[in-house]
Amino acid sequence: MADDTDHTGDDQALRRLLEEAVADVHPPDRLIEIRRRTRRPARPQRRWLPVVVGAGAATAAVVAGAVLVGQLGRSGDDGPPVAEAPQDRAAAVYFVGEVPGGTRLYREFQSVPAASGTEAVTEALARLESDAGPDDPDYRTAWPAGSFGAVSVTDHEVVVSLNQPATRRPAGIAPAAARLGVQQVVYTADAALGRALPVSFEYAGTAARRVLGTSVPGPVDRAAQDRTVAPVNISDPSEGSSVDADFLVARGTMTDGVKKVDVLVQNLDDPGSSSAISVTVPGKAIQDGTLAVRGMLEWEAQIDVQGLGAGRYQLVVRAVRANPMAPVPMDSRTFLVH
Amino acid sequence: MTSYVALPGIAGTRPAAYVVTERSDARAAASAGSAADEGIERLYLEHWDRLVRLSVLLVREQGAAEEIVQDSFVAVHQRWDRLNDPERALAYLRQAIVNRSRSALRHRAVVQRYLNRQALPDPAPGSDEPVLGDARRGLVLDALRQLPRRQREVLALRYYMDMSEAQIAETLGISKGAVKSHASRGAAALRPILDQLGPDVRGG
Repeated sequence: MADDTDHTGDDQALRRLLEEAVADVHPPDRLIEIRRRTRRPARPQRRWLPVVVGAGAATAAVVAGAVLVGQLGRSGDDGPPVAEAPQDRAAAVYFVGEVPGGTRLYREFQSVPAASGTEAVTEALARLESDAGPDDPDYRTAWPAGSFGAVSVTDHEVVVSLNQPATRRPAGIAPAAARLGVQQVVYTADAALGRALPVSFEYAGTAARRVLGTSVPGPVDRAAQDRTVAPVNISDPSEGSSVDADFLVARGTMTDGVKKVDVLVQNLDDPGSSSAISVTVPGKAIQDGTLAVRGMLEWEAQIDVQGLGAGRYQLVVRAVRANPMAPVPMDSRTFLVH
Repeated sequence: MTSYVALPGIAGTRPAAYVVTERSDARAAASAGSAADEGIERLYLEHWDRLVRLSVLLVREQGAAEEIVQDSFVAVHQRWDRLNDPERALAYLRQAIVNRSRSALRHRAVVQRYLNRQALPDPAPGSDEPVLGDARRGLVLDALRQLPRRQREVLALRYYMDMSEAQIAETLGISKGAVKSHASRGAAALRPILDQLGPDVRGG
């Protein structure tokens, strides 16, 4: 309750004013709808569905919007996805998530209004603020709502103006996650531009010395991918996507220390049939445009879903490590077949 | 719905290879499900109406407000094992609603910018708004809409949700001093309406 509000006549009048303004709002019951959307699988499943997977190395690193917007779904909603307007495009947006023994960036594709240059960076960075944030509930963002102001792009750098919430380390964000948060911006901005540019942060018209509570001495370069990005990452499909085609195209990144990923599909509604598949992805260097990409590969799988009944499925991708006792980096997504 | 387009360059296919006999999916947490369901239900029963009204104060349109609050309940459910406390869950819920209300307004602005660029006529004015049976309600909601976003948020949290300055500061991620100044500017902006409505709202 309000422990520090005074109770002058104006305060009382304002209370009454706002109370009356919405007094005739009687929202219909939505508990059933909320329950439907938060329904969990009845029990964990142990077996896997047969899938046919094609695998190949592809370009990674600075990834612009080369993904089907039609695969972008709505988080936590198993209803039909909203039709995307033709002016939308998919932006690669980076969020913080857990890996065995630490935190790394995970890439998501999110639907944003079509734009290029400065506007594309602005739209993509808005997705990093906590009021937008990741679709995947396993990811989080280090950036509070209202963090970003104006953006400008030159030939040599991206300049991002910060607002006050972005200067301090937010509650609940560990120092390591805050440092990774700075790279969220660099990776996301570079992806929006399709170029690897350093990012300069400004606050109140001058160079920002502290960003998310982290000391930032000058323009921030892209940190090395193998120390920044999760060893295994599903970028596409997005969480909660609907599939009504014969094939689901799944893609993501892997560090070159990961020689092989298992791509698995699990039926969340029916613990019946199953098996798994192992896909070997060639561990060769990647070139993306003019950028040499060190330390990263992209995996890609075309999954035959023709035999799958309507329901909720989970796509799981796990690194295959030489040491079977080592923790297994992995990523997962829920998708729907209608 | 997904529109499938064949991707070039997929290197070949392999058949199913082995049967997995252990589950290593970190997201299982099935046992946490019922606690989350119960917690969400309690929050819903106690706060649903009031939280939708809070969102109406922020975005004005009731349908949008219902969607925003429903999405926020789902988001809290997804994070229940991390919140796991009714007070923290309610605080998170309020924060999610304020943030998502802001996003909804921002999205409207994005759509409007697109329409302006296309040089299309504006959509019918007020077509997304309910017919207001009560002129006073319209007056207040109009006035709130004219306020800068932070002032609107602070007024709604302070005078409708009856939250303390410290709680508001935490919810919005701003200082208590900023809360104070947004509140006083916002209140000053609404004062002409108080004067206009006179004793109806000032009296008793």
